[in-house]
Amino acid sequence: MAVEPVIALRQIVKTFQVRDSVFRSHPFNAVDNVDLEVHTGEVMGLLGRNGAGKTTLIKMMAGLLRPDGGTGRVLGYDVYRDHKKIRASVSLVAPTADIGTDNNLTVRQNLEFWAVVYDLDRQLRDQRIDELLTFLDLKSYEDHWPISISAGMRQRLAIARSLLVHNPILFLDEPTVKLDAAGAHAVREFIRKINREFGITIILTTHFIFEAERLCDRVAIMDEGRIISCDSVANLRRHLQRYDSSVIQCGEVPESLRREVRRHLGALPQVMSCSFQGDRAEAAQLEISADPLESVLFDALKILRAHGIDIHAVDTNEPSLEDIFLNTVNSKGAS
Amino acid sequence: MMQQLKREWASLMVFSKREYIIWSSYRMNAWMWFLDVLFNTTIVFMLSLLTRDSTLDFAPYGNNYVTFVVLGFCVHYISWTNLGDPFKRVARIYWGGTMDLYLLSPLSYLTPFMGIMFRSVIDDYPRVILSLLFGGVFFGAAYSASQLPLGLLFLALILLSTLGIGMISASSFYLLNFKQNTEPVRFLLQDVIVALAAGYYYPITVLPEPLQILGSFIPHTYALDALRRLIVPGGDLATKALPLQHWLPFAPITTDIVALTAMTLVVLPLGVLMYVGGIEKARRKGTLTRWQ
Repeated sequence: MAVEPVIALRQIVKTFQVRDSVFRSHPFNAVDNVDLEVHTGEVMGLLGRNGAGKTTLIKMMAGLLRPDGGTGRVLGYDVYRDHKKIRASVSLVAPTADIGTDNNLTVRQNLEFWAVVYDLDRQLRDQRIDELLTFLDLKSYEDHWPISISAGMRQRLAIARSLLVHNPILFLDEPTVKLDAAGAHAVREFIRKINREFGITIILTTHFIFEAERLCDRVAIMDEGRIISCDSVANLRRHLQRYDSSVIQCGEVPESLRREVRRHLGALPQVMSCSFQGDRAEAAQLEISADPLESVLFDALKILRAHGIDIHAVDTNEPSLEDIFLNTVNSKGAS
Repeated sequence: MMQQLKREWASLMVFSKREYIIWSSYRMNAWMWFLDVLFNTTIVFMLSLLTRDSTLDFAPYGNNYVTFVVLGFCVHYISWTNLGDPFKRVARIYWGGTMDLYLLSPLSYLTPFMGIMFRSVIDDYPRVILSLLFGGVFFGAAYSASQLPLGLLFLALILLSTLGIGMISASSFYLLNFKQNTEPVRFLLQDVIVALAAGYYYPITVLPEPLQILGSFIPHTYALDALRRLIVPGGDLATKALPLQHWLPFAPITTDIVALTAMTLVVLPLGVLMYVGGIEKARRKGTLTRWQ
């Protein structure tokens, strides 16, 4: 993956006035001193509770909202001065597929309309529309009215609209929020596909933690307008736990062999602790804690095999992104 | 520059096509539309029967009441579209959530606005022609064609000036944050001053003087004065009737041209500025669409 930052924000601020009564209002920092860099071809996830500032941040990155402070460049354009150029160079899928979809036009007519609005070259229009309809399994629905197809298909149509022109950045604001499991799965597969095949940088907001875990190279966790943590899921996981542990289900391990194995494993520098559980000699469990676990696990398995111990299963207790998210938000990023 | 203009034009055309598809999707709508114009013209004809033998004076606007009011209808339909509709169309973009998507395109701020206006244009502008046609074919309206080019100039001026006011009205959606059905510019002009003092059904010379003066501030007054003098048979080009015509040392038609041109030159750029300013304000305040 290349390392060019396509988005570079420094101390970006957005404040709204919230009206208390007819005569009184108070300022509310929707986005508060946010620093963020997104690199070319990256899938960046924005996680946060409702009102955390994700959509406001996306709107500022897309040139749809003027920041109140800080500096920022998107595709090299200044977020204050060049907002029109930014808007013409990014694509967006809003949370509901109905936005931008006219129910009086067929699926194909909708795409034809937006192809002209997005100034897609006349010679390319039909070809690109056909490609997208096929790519998104919408071809058999091209003459249907959007209201007569499922919400999942309408969401695909919204994504097709946003991909008519191959803009280098695609913002997806909760793209699977109204879809059933099959529809959501298809959209996720599609996101992976367009990122891989077209190299499009994707900024994704979602409430589904597993979705971010599956799709995103990095995630930024937002709370009360601030990014309180931003890293790859693996690194966030590492920050959360001082060390990881693993339980290896083994075959028969006599007591004398247990001592021998513990001695060998304890000699590995990354191992914090190791012990056999279970009284039955024919079904032992070896519990290892290490920092980092992955650098030890292979050696541990080699030691067990070298002592003729059967290995039945290996379980790790890595925290999920959901654990990381909750921990980070509850500790305001302190972990 | 040419490239940009071609792109905007192509987009206007595709907006028009979309609006036409939507408009023609409802066949019943087309029939209702046709009958609506016919019934409106019929009502004028019935009124003309009442006035036929009366001593009411329409001077200097000729002697055919049906033509007199049919021309009033024409200006009314144009005004209904250009002045009354922009606010509703902008509200449609807002509530439909598509303003953000239009902004995420190479289009200027004005093209989507003009594009979505096309629905009203195809709904209302043909009513002008149908009214003239029904009036002439069924109800005895007669038209003088000798001053047709001048008549078309007035039609163009009323079209542009009401569009300018319509854009001022539409800008209030974002500039003043009026998000409901009524906003003050349209209400004050269309529902109060135009309704009272434009003179669609009667010459404004029959109104009390304060209302005649109030009518001096809307373009409709001058467009109707000129169109009726020029097109209603027996129309008088020399006799002054409107307050401004008495104050200025020009012939009535010249005064009408000066007043309408001045109004157009003020309200059209002001409307564009205010509309663009409204969008920029919404971009600062985060109120472009409901998508939050």
